[in-house]
Amino acid sequence: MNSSVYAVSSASAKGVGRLLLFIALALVSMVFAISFGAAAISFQDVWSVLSPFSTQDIEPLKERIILELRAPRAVLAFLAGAGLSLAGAVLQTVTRNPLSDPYLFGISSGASFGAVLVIAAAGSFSIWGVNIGITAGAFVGSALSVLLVVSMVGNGAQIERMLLAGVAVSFMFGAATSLVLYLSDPLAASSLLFWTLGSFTRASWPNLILPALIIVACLVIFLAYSRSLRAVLAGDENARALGVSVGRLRMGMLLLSSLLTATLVANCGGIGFVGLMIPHIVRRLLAQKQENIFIYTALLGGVFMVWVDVLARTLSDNAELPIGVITAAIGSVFFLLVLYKKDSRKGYQ
Amino acid sequence: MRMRSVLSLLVLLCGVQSKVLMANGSDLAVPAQRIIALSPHSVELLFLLGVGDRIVATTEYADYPEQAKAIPRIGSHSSIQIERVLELDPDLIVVWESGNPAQDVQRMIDLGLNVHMSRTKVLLDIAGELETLGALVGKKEQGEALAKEFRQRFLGLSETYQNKAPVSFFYQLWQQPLRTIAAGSWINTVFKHCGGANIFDDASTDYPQVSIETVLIKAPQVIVVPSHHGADIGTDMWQAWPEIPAVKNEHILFFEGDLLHRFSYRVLDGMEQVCTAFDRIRNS
Repeated sequence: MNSSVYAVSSASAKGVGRLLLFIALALVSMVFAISFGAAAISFQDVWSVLSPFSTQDIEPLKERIILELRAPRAVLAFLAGAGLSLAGAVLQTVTRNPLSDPYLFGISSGASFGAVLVIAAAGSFSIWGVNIGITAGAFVGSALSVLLVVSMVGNGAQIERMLLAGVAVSFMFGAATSLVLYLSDPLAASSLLFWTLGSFTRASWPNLILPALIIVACLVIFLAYSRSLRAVLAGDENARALGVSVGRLRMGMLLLSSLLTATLVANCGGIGFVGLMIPHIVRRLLAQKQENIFIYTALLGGVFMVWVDVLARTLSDNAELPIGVITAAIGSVFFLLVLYKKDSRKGYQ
Repeated sequence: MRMRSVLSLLVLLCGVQSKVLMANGSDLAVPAQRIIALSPHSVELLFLLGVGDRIVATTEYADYPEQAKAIPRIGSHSSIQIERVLELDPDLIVVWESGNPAQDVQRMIDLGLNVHMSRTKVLLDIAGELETLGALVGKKEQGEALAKEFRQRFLGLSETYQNKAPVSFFYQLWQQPLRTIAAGSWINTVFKHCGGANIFDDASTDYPQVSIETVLIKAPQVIVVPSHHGADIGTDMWQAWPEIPAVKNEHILFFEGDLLHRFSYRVLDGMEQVCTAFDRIRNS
């Protein structure tokens, strides 16, 4: 009796320790990331601005660069990584398909198309007005793609139909985006292309409020439903036997994922592979049954994206690299490695 | 039967080809009468030479002078409708090496059309272009006179302003992503000869993408914002940064982008505006 109580409390202590470790990793990553950039700002500078205990004086311009340019950017990167990973994890769970991610369902391409159309139509850029327009465009686009997918799926919410409809919708909006790009003038096209490949340059504190609220709300909902989601993972029949209304749950999760994705695409453009890769890594690190797998997914996704953004800003002197290109490069190599390892292990067996 | 029809088709095609080539050989003797001008600046230069009415087709954005807007469009920066080109039966096609798709240009050359490649790379190339085009359209003397005038005006401005106290500037070519010009860009010549010092002179590419924070650190005296096809691009973001001297002193200058971005004679008007505006700031 005594020993089992001890075992439970030590397991939960271990869990808390691990969670704290992940949170610390996220915070340290962000502070480090803020000290990278075009202007010469050291880690100490960043620390003295961010830490309430520091008494060191710092140039006002540097302080403003840290607080108004770099900090919101690091936070946006973290939010984007967290949100996209969460969307991927939830979609992979409800479809029981390891390849599901916001891209596969056409959510990202719908959002991209909406945003690109607004940017192209606006022509010139007056930051505030257009920002709101881009967000609205991305929402309408993703809502349209989800509507199309959902109308194809019907009541049963069958996985195969969902995936196939998603792929078709994704190609459709992809083609429409390419057409807009092709018809734009060269400078506008290059900026549209840059945007569709993902970037955090538009980060500012007011822009962060909406994504932050939506990500936290979705995370809470996912955690609240984690028991039902785990049941679905074991099979539709199984879940129904446990009293889960599978169709409704699947549809609800699809809608939440598209809300997450649309908010992020509206703020940082199209960033692929994160929603696919991070949940895989988390599943490898932790047991699938883990209650708070979504928390770890969000934290690891955020940390990953913060470092991807550091790479994007520092790899080339003359240009910021598009985020989506880096995530796709890392993601594809990661998947090939995973496949290779699986294969060679089979060979040994 | 089928073999024979294929053969006759080949013979026919060869015949067409050689006919075009023959017509080509004598093109310099007869001034061009049906011209396709595939860039906004060549349209401007041809109008200046007084042969604008001979242009039968052009490309997107060729909007100066006013009459140019009525010319039919047969292409853009991404493609040229070759079939329309053939249909219009031009005796001179003025293409732009860096502004027209190379494949389409090559196809027009392969089809035996009389293609003149405009290779303008630096500001003074405009004078050379005026001479060449003048010769091709039978306006040799006008071309040479205009070229001489162009060189004189350019050198005059340069002598007046180039060696005055440098004014540091940031050229906001595009906003999202923030893009500028560097030393290698021909637009930079205008500013250099007006005594401007580009804060991104040392960048290794001609049109580098830059970050706001670099502009903050380099603290330019002037921010130059060209319009883009008549529309202003945004500058709201600068207002948050009075640390930049250009923002603090309200030295954000707007110029008509088409004056500065085109290899046309009007670039001198743009240059004059830049030189006088910079001089005012220099003396303020």
